[in-house]
Amino acid sequence: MTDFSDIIYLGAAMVVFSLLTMNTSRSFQVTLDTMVRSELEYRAISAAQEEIDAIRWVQARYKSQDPFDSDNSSYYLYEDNPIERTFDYGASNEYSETFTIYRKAEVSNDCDLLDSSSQRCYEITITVENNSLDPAITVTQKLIRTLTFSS
Amino acid sequence: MNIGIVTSYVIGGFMLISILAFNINLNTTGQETTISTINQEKRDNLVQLLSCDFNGLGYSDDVFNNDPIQESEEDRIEFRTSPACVDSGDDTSGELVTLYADDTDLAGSTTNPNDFYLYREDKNGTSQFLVTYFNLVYYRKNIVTGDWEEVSNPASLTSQREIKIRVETMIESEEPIRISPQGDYIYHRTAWTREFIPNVMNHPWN
Repeated sequence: MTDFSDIIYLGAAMVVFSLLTMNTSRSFQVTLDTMVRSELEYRAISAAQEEIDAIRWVQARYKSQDPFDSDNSSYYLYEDNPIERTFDYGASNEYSETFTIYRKAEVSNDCDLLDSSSQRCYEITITVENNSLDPAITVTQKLIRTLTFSS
Repeated sequence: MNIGIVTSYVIGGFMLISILAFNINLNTTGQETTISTINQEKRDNLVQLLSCDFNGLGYSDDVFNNDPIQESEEDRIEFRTSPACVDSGDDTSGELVTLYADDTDLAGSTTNPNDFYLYREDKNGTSQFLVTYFNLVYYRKNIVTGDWEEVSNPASLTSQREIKIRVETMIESEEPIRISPQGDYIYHRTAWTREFIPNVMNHPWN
């Protein structure tokens, strides 16, 4: 009877130990996953900031051509949408990451325009997506821009 | 010899070995996570500082007479930036900041053989950051084609306008996170790059 109880104790101890091992491994796996995701998010934010930077000072050419007017494909800035951009990292570009960048400009009515007859306000939304991980990494940044036209 | 005692020893031995292996694995992973987090934190701090400096590039109350970039090489730049990026900064013609690195002047104070210092100099003194790579790439917009073209030394340009700068850096942990089966030390590595289109230098002046 004593032998049997020993085996039961041993079996229970092994089960508890296995559970402990699995839980710890899972916890570390989650931590590692979070770290990799945060690294990618960091790069995605930089990519979004670059896009925002690139349009910060865009203005209406000849004071008439609206770069955010999707009806005029000849000078619409976001005619190609979305775009794919590959960034190289490292001393000899040993790493690279490809992001899908969605650009959207919508007329906003929330702006307090000085002259509504010659100014137009846009809310520009940049969404950067990376599908290396599941679920995909998505970063969104917005910018409010006011363009002035000849009245 | 009692077969029961032998079996108990064998099973107990396996259990002890398992616990030992688990403990080693736990320690290694814990150390790896801690070192990686510290390294990412270091990267955050450096990126925050660089972002402020480069976003404020060209700040001056007299942008037509003060050249924003005084000196520019691939591993060195001296430029005017916003006083907000310099502690007690109050110069309305822009605070001068110099960033420079020399990848042959290895730090030697860490176990990582690739570490060298990136220096940041302003009126308050010099601060240093451990990096394993630092590079600057300069571009200028071609007015005719509208394309950005690489230039080697924008400081020498007569008109420092329509310029953007790509900053590339890589930071490795000071201590190894593990040792490879071949006996090599493996360091945590984080690489970052961003293009800055400074507001002042790209404002439509016409």
